[in-house]
Amino acid sequence: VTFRRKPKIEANEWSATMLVSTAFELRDAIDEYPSLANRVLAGDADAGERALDRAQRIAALGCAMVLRKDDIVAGTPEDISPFRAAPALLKLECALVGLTQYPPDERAQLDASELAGLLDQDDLRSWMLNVIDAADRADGS
Amino acid sequence: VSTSETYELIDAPLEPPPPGERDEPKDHFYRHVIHGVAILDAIAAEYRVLLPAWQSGSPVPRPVVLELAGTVAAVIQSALRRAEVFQSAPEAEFRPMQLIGALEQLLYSLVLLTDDPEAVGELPLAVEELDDLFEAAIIRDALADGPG
Repeated sequence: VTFRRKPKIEANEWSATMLVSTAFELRDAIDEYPSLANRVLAGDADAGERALDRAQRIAALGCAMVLRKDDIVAGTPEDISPFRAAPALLKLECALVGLTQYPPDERAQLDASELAGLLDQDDLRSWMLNVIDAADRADGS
Repeated sequence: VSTSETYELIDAPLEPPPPGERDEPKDHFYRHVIHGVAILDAIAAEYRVLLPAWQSGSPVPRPVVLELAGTVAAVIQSALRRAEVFQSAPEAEFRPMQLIGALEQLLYSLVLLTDDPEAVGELPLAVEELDDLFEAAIIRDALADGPG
């Protein structure tokens, strides 16, 4: 599993990589989810494969967070902890796994309001944008 | 258990009903705990067989793994749609989020079994780690009491 690049922020190297990977995955999954769901529910098999690919990426992050929990806690200030994104990623994962079912699990899908609400809890939108911004600035420096 | 069968299970009223005065949030909580633990137990048994096969490079049927993951995902998503019910349950008595956490770890691990073992490495739950999840009081007690 390849995680994303690390930013120049106050976290140790591995934790920083996890942090950035989590923020980008959250953003990308939220961005892509509506079209994926529409395509799967319209019978597009390729979209089902794409949903599984996204689900696998989130699953890798989720398992890594558990396996390396102590390292993340020790290596990341609490206010930017990637664990803040865990509830939103779990809801996305359930929806994406629902898209891999035959037939797709429509009840597990997130409507527009639920999807928007993922970033409203715990000021997650600011967290995500700040981490992505820090990563982009580090890339540009 | 397919996802549609899972929903039939978790939507059906509990018989006998939960102790104390009956109300809808409490019913929702108990239905998801009792069926969630039973599903965790059943799918964990499947996982204990699938994991060593996947680790050794034997073909693991993807549709089977995805159906198991879909069942776990259905329970979690249904429970989290009323997260306040879980979060408001007495933490000291039930620790209900331990059940969601256990289902979460099983879900992620199952999804990784659909990927290449060389790419994924040791990320999925080991069998011993899975066993540890069953030490959570809410899971142990629900299994001891059985459905209802």
